[in-house]
Amino acid sequence: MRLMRASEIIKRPVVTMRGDDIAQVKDIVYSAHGGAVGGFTLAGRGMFAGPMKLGLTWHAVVALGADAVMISDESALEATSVVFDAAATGRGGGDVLGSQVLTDSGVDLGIVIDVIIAVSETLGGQCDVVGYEIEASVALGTKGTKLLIPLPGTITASAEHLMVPASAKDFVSHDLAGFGAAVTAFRAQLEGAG
Amino acid sequence: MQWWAWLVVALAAIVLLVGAVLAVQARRRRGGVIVDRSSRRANRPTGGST
Amino acid sequence: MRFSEAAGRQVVSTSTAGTVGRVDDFVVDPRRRAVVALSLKRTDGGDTLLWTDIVAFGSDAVTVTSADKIVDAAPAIIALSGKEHRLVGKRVLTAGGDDIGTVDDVEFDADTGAITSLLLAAGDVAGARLVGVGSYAVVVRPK
Repeated sequence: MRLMRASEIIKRPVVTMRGDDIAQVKDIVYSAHGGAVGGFTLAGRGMFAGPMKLGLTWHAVVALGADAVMISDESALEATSVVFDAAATGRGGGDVLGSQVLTDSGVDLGIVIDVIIAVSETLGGQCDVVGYEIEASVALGTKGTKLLIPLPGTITASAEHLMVPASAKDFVSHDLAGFGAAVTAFRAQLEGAG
Repeated sequence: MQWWAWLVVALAAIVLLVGAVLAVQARRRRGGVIVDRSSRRANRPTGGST
Repeated sequence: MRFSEAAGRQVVSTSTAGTVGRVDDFVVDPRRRAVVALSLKRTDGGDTLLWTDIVAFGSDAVTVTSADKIVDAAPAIIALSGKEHRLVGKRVLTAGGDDIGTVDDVEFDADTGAITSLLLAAGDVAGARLVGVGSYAVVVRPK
């Protein structure tokens, strides 16, 4: 299980097994029900390229590594509507970067500046959103520090806010190294309590 | 104006135009993290472990 | 033998003992993981010598029965040539999506043309691990 930042995955090249970079990652699309990454929307490579009409579902990804998203060949790309239904989420309104994180007790924890994603290292494994990196609010101590907050299995998100259980603030991390353990401990605590 | 002055203006216009296109395309390539709230996509692939 | 040593080697005809060309570049088929042809310069006609037409790839010269064996590149060879298909200098990605370095040199078997290994600063990659060569990277199987 590898942890990666969404900000690193965005703009990563999509490379075929033949060694051609046919696209780059534009958006990471994840399900509110469970946090699984459904896929990616794509943009072209090169200075003059814009967004592509094609996207990539997680099923079609051979591997997500530190430097590239590997696919078998061009046929892995599909229409973006297969990756996510733009009409359902509302274009632009679904981006969690910049959204406010609230606990279920109504406390503002901060603003999301990045998203932490866990990638299984086995072929065909899972890819899930497991945490947010936030710019902390007053409630978490020093205002403006960057902190990592773990997320439960079920993500609660609306167009205005992202909600987390109040206990999440007890499992906050300062860096990615110990964050995997924090996520596991947090989820175990939720299961024990709930 | 001299003929070369018009050339400078034309070149400057081209540079600005190209710059604008590059900026617009870079903005359009920018991505984010999108939460998909449509319930029909709630299925997780079976198999594989977290 | 390495690409770096073999580049520039003279190609000599066994029938006339004269130099009929010089090795310029190597055409590799990633599916067969072997050198399938040599790109030549300074020849009287043609720019390609198929591996199957070589008598021997020696440490001082490549021998060929006659200059007639040097031909113009066939479409199949052209498809495998060019910057997109060059190995040396290209970044190497594992099939897992990790960048492991750049190809500094290539070791090949002078008898069969098979690619023995890709030489990277971080370590060698066995030729058998080669999956593909494209415009962006050389893709190799993980160890």
